[in-house]
Amino acid sequence: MTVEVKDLKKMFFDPKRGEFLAVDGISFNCSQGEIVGLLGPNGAGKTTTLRMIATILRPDSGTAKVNGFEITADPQSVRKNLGFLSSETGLYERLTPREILNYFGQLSDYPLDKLEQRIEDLIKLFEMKEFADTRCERLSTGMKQKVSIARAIVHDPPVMALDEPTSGLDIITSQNTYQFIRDSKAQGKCIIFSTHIMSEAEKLCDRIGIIHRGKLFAMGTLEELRQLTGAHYLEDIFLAIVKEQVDV
Amino acid sequence: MSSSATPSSNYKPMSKTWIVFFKELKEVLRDYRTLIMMIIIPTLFYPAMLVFPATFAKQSIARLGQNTVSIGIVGDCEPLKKRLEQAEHLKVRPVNEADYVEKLKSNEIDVAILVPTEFSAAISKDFTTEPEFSYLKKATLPALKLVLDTNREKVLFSMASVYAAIGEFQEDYIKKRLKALNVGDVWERDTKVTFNDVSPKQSETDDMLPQFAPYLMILMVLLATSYPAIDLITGERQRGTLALLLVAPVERRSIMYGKIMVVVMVGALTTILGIVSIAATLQFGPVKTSVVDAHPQFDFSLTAWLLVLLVMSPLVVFISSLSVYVAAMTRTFQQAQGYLFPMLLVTLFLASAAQIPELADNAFLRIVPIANTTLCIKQIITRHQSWSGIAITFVSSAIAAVLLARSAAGLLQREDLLMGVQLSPQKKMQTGSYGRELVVFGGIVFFMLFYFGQLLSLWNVMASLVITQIFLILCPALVFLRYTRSPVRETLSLKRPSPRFVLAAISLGFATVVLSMLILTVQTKFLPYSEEYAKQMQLMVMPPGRPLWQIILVAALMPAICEEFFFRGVLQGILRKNLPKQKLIIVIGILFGIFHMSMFRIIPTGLLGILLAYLTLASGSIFPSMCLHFMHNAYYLWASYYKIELDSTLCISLAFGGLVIAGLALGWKPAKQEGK
Repeated sequence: MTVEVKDLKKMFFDPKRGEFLAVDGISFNCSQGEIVGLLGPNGAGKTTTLRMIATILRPDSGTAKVNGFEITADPQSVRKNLGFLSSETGLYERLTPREILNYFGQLSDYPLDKLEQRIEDLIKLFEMKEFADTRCERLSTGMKQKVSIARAIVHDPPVMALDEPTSGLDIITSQNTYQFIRDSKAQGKCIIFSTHIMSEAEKLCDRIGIIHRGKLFAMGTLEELRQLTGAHYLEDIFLAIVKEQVDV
Repeated sequence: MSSSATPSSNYKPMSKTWIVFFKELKEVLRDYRTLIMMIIIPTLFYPAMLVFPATFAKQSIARLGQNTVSIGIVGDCEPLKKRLEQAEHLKVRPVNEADYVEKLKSNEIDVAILVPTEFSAAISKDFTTEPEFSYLKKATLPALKLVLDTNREKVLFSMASVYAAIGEFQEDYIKKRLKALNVGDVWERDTKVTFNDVSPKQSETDDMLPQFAPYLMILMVLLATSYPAIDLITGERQRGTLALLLVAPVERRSIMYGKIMVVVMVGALTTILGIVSIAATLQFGPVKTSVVDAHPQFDFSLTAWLLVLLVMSPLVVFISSLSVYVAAMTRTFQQAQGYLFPMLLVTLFLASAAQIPELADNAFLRIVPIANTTLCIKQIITRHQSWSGIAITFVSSAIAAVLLARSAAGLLQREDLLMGVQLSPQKKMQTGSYGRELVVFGGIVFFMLFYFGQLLSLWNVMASLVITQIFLILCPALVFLRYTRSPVRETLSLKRPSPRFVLAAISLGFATVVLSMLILTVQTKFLPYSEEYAKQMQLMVMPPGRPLWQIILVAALMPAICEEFFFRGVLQGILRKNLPKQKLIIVIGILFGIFHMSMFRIIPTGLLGILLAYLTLASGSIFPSMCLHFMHNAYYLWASYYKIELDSTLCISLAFGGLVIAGLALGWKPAKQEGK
């Protein structure tokens, strides 16, 4: 397994709610060439789960391994093996796309002698030649999204953690992102993908996990989830699972 | 598929710090706001701040001096009237005793000169027939009285012509008479010497430059570093690029050090440009005559500026780290700007400490960052600097800068600051995450002690000891305990101690006083202190005319309770959650040493603090440290009261005996009882 998540827990505190488990014992795994989707409403715990896998946050308990490296024991190796992309992440406005790719390539220990070629390949792949040397503050949203994706994979990681990557994007830019995710799958990458958009999950994911209030209620292929709930559309499947679990 | 998983052993933190540094530098240099603060402001604005007010004031005074002043002479003195009529810019108008006030009110005349009858008489007198030979007495003229409206600026600035004309008249008169006595040369020579030495216009206190220059330097660095710090840290968080760095294989400390280095560079460049441009303005600019040449007592040489740069250099690192620290605490630009103002206030507050003569004499000020540097710059400019002062300022600022930079570099580890993750009070207590609160709490108590404590002691020594112990030490400690909702018994170590620790504490009291005296004796060889200081210290703890029991109650028992609650109770109780034992003991000791606010007492009190912290930790109870603290103070007070020398055979024997008993008590571990 390229990503193994076991019983991850993370406690948050809110003056109104007191202490609560934002992630409550989530376990799943993801293999090479597979897209696993984490589907849930806002505040379900998807982002916190991905942030723990990406070593931004430390879990209170539980563990996760990325390409064999444990997230708390060897975070540096986890980071070398992981590409992280989120709708909330921005770009350095005063740097050009080429400079950003160069910066993250160097930080990620990508071999210096091959880095220039790698950047050229990415510029060609994402059709960024026209604006590769323009400061990011002058780029359109679509152009910025391309730079963000290229930035996430400049060190050619085997695992991708994508946190609602299309949130706030128009339909054309979203399509580019979908294409990138499919291409990555074809290259054999392991992709964990969080979203609250049902259609996205339906289209892209090999397996879908239903997350609500910090818990992973079900995980399976679309067909398996249909069989589990008897519903056809993902929206109905989601509601059926969440309603049943919360009622209990 | 290619997998780029490289082994983590190839990882080189320093090289990553440089990668971050160069990237941040590139970004900073592309930001016009930073460039303005870093280059334009120091090279143009700060020199202009020196040049414009001085030039403008000079021109304006000169212009006002050209105005014609109308003078009315009340009284009869024809020679003076003639002299004033001949003078430039003066016009004599007829007035008399009855109408001069009216004429002054209606601005018909600007100044009235009241000539007393003795003045007129003195001028017309034939002094050579006087019996006694006292040339100065005979030559001196009685005083004239000038009446004017001081609210009229035009008149005030034009008074120079009036004074000059009267002065010349008097001088001519005196010279003429001294010549007749054949002592004219003697008088002139004497007067010149006297004039140069005592004239208040030549005194340093009259000029604002030595006060103003250090402020300007510190303000310059603070303003130059705060924006890039906010941009590189708060801005990165707000723009969403911080998460990208956090998922890159680079240590969080390396990220912070890279950023701190850029901010330090901005601060350093601003300081160098600021000093060079101010020095050049003073040396070659239009204010050279009015500032540099007119004040030979000030040092504006290249060496002086290099010394200023030297003492500023660790402060640049300190202020840059402070800016980074504050920026790391904030989540938005608005919040950061909100923090900036209090930071500016505290910085200027510290800078102002060096301007208060009573505080500037306090040796402790030499180790307080910012305050020590302002004092040092002021002393360099006024030629009062000492090499030891410069060295202590440099070293203490450098230590403070390194500690603050290290502390700031660790802030990216904190999830509450990174992602806004809040911790519950219970969890904060469990993990000891009260760093921010402790810094604020410690800062407030420190400032209150420094300012109010000193002011109170000027009023009444005994009362100040009581008020300080209860309201500035014990109460804040208890308030902080309540605020953190810490469990009282556990935090304060309120546990019945094993008798062997109490015995050890009491007997150690005899030894610590003698050891402290020994340390002070050795220390004095390297860091001598004045007799005046020793006298002041003695007065602080031993106010005259009080019975011994009162002094022991106030200066031994109260500190033993209040200071122990503060240091070994609250501070140690909270810090022990996130510091290993050895570090904890040293940190508490250092804080205890600094708390005594005297550079000379830091080492002995710091070591005592370490011992007290150890006793609390080893016994699990605060009471042994209270016993030792009480014994130490009481024994010292007793010896001072009865004037018993601490190096007498009696005291040394007691110290030795105390050490032996303490050693036995601490070394003896009754296995069975300990378990219970």
